[in-house]
Amino acid sequence: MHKIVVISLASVFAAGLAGYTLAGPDRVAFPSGYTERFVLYNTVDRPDRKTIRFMYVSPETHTKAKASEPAPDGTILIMEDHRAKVDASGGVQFGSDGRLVPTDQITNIFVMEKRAGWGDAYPPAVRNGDWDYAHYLPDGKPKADAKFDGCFSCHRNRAGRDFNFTYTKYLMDREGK
Amino acid sequence: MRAAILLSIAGIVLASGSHAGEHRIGMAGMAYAPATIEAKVGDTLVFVNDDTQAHNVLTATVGFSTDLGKQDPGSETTVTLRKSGAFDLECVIHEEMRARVVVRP
Repeated sequence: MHKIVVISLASVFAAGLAGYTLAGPDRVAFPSGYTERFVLYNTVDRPDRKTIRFMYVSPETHTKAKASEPAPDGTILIMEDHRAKVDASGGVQFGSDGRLVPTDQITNIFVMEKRAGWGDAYPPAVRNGDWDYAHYLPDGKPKADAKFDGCFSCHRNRAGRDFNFTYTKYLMDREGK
Repeated sequence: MRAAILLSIAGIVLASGSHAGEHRIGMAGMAYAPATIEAKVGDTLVFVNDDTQAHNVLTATVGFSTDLGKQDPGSETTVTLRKSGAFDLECVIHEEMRARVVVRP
């Protein structure tokens, strides 16, 4: 009995670890050329971080995507962080449209990708459907000390919207829903 | 502690406190109140976290998309509306927290 309990605990622990160690570039590759190929569907100002987030989606899946359905298998969503333009005192500047003004300086590239079966490797308390995550630097190299627990826990707050904050919302607005 | 954070949302800049209209939006009980806000360009929105847990204000409406970040209990975030249109608000942490803002010219 004691042995069974020990094995069970070890399995749970291993599953928990696997939940986060699977995430990263081994699964979610850097989408080379995304700025030319992908669809820029939104930008999100993040004034407290002096950042503007450029949101891209893979074009092959975007044409098939519907607000009422989970994103198609193979969907890739990218969040590319740009530093905002600031004035001499360090305050963010605004464009004529009232939005933060992005610079060309990219700080982080976050990628989430959905492949059938990927979620099976994660414990239920962690799983984000079949989505997985990776964190890249501007040169396309993986961020060495990337942590993904925050990705999984935060995106679980949108389980009812296929685990994303902006893309399904974009589709809903596009379809008038 | 009551902290006032002055930020920007979709055409909103640091508030001076002397705008035409101020709309205070509470978060108690995990709900924005009021859930529908009608405002004019130049008005301010004051998000008051009068709840016992942290919340957030995100709009993902294209043209207005802004994430104001985590807002701890007791804090306020003030933004000024600089652009007409309509956008939805939601809490990143609590999916059920929603509101809608309509900004008239």
